[in-house]
Order: sequence, then structure tokens, then C-alpha cells
Amino acid sequence: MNQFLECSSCGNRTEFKPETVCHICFGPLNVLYDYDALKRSISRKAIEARPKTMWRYAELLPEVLSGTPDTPVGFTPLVHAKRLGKVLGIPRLYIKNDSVNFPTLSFKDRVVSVALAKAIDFGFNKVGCASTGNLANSVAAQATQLGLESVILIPNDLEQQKVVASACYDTTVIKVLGNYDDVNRLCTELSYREKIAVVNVNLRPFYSEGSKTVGFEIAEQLGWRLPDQVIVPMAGGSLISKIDKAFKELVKVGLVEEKSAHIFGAQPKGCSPISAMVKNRSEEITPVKPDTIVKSLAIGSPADGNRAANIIRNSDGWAEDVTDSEAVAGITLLAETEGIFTEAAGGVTLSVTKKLAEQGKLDKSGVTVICITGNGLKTADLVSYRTDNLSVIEAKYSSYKEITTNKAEADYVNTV
Amino acid sequence: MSTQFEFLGPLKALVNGDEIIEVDATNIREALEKLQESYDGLLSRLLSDSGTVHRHINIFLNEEDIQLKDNLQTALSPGDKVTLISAIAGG
Repeated sequence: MNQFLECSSCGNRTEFKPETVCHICFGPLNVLYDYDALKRSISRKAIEARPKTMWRYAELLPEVLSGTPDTPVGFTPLVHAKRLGKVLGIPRLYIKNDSVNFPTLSFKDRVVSVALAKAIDFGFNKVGCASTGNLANSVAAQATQLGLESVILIPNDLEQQKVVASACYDTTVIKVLGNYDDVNRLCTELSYREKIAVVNVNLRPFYSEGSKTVGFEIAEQLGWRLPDQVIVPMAGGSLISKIDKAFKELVKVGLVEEKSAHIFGAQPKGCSPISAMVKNRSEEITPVKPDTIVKSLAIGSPADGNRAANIIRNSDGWAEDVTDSEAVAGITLLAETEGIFTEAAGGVTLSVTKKLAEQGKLDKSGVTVICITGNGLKTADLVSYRTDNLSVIEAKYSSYKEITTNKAEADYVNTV
Repeated sequence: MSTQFEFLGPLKALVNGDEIIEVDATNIREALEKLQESYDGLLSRLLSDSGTVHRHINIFLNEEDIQLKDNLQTALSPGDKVTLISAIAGG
């Protein structure tokens, strides 16, 4: 077997199948590869010659028997954030900008691309998900592209923009009375009772592999080098775990030189079980009831929480959390410095980066990457206050001149 | 009236595939100890060495995670439903 599922707890190995836990110990199944064989065959040159999508790393993704997807998912920009870097005092600061991912403007497009390909491999006609919004958008869109039936389960209180951005596709959206953890429990039960591929339940080992491509792309875009530090938003803890896995796999197959990349996690204070575990140096996650406007990070019982916290510790990184108002401030800071409009989760990641810099936990001379995972248009209401005092003028130059002269004078007064 | 226990997915193997199991007990721990009498090895698969619920398993009382209540000491009332399910999902 060149690729197989292995239990992260007991090491039991099995061939690919639509299951998420080990039947012996109920631990999580994880896709592993024959790294020695890959080291002999994989090369930077071969990868660079391929189309600029996440599937250029196909050898390090689950094999798709029905054909590697040809949709242009991934390979999002890695932006040298010079202006933001000046504010934070980190000159070599980069933004991995998944807010412009295809087709639905979040990193979830990556995981769904893998999951739906495997759903087809396993013979499913119907797919679904438990989602805080971004995953819902992506499953709805990509299932539509592939002609698969889909059912999307979301908490009842999601941002309206995210609900609309699911409901517009050929899908069935169901709002569940409860929080994300309630939806997740329901979806797990659904996957046991019906023939449906719930991407983040029974396809989870394959689905989560898609997140590795964030790490692969960061390394390639830095010139086949690992960063010194990476700051990642955490909900269930899967993305940060998979970025770590990606960095380690690149070393194993010889695509980058070994280096300790310090991994930092970001959560909203109103739902910060992973951050709390790191900061309290505790052994286990303590679940919480989420209370935050940052819906996309509002997972109170994170499936990969323990793993994420241990990865952060082992990398000599750290985790932090910020208030909802700090998250909103993070959205505007990124927009005003780099012209990138991110959603609330991105605001959390930005503000946590600022906090870590102020605490002296980041090496300010290091190559630092902030992972921005979603688009601001989906949580635009959070910054709608920015439109409260906009000028309205008649369509005459004199009106324009009057307003801009007044503004210039006001700006001048404010500076003296 | 007793409490209904349901083991879902791979956890169903712990109770030999039985669908709904009725148990008379005052709290979750006592119920699981009673179930152990009928299903050999159950407790060792559900609980860690320290006696807490294994991190890979979630137990819900009437759809609420017992970690947000009193864990294994969570009290049971007649007519309650307890569901055991894998914790490895979502995100």
C-alpha cells in the first residue's frame, strides 16, 4: 500500500474506506503515505510544471481513482505584507490569502475538493456537512459542479450572507436549532443512519488532507523554504494540525530543508478551548459553550483540540485569544494596511498576531506567515459601521470640491 | 421508567449491535457499570486509565454533552436518553 489509513492512537492500519475512527480503539484515522518511495520520485521541478492549483501536490494527497479534479482550487496568493509588517514591526510578514480561493472564497474549498472526489470514488451520490458557514458554501457549490445531491446542516444563527451563499446553489440547506456542536452531533448520527458522505464526518480523514495544501503552497511560494513562524485560526483544530503535517511531509520527501517552524494558534476569547489548554498547560481540552460573534471559529468541543495544542507546544509556539471587538479591529487593520478584506476569523488571526508581537512571543526578524482563511464579504455586517457617516453629495463638481476641502481641513486640524 | 442508552456507529460493537438498552441507574457512571455486567470489556473501552471518558468518545444526555454537565456523575432521571458517539467529527 502506497497510501493507507492509520489510527493516530493505536497505529492500526487499514485500506481507504469512508470511515473516520479506528474500530479497535476509536481513535482518529489519518492518511499516511510511503514517504521513502515518494522521496525517490517527487521533485520540485515536476510540481512547478503543473497547473497552479492545490492538486499540483497530488502525490501527497489521497489518490483519486475517479480522476484528479481539474477545478482551479487553491494556489492562492502569498502576499508580502509590507505595510502591515511595518505596523507590527515584522518586516518579513506574509499573508496566505485564502479569502480569494475558488470557488467560494475560503480555505474550505481545499478540503471539499478532496472530500467530494473521494465521495465519488466510494460510490456516494449524496454528500453533506455540518458547517459554521464556509464549509457549507463550498460543499453546496462544488457538489453542484459535480452533479451530486447535497444537504447542508448549519446552526440557526449563522450570518445571513453565509446562509445566502449556500442556498443559492442546487442544494438543500437545513437550519438546526442549536450551536455548531449540536449540528455536528446530528451529522455524525446522520452518517451512521443513511447512505451519505458527510465530508467532515465519514470522509474526515480525506477531507482534512486538503488543508495540507495551505502548508505546501506556503513553502513553495517562499522558494521551497519553511517559514519561521505561522499563525493559524483554530476552530476544530484540524487546519493547524494539517499545516504542521504538511511541513513535516515536505521535509520527509526532501522538498524542503528541515527547520523548526513555530506554530501559533488563534481563537476568539468567547470560544477558546484550545488556546486555554495551551495557556493553562493542561493535559486535556475542556469543552465550552461558544459565546462569540466569530461564528466560523465557534466550535466548543474541538475534535482535533488536543492534537492542535500538542503541536503548538512541540513547535515551541503559543496560542492566544482576543475579544470580539479586537477581532473586528483586526478586520479593519488588515483592510487598511494590505487592502485585504477578511471575515471575523481573519480578524481574530490578525489581532492575535498583533498580541503575540506585543507580548514578545514572535521573533520579529523571522519569516512570519498569517493564514487568512475567509472573505470579509461573508461577515460584512460586522464592519457596516464604516458606512455610517459617508458623505452624500449632488452630482456637481462644486459639491465634491466642498466636501473634499472640508475633509482636508478637518484632517489638517486633526494633525495639529 | 428507566434510562435508554444508545451506542452509535462503531461504538455499537461494544454492545454487540444492540439498538436501545434500558438501564436503571442514578447517574451515568452507575449506568455504565451496570452495562458492564452484560457487555464484557465495555468500561475498559470507554474509560481511560484515569477513569474519565476516553477523549475519542462523547456521551450526550438528551442531546447535551455530559462534559458540560457533571461528566460521569451527571444524574439520570426516568425517561432520559443517553447517546454514545465518536468524538472525531467536524471542524
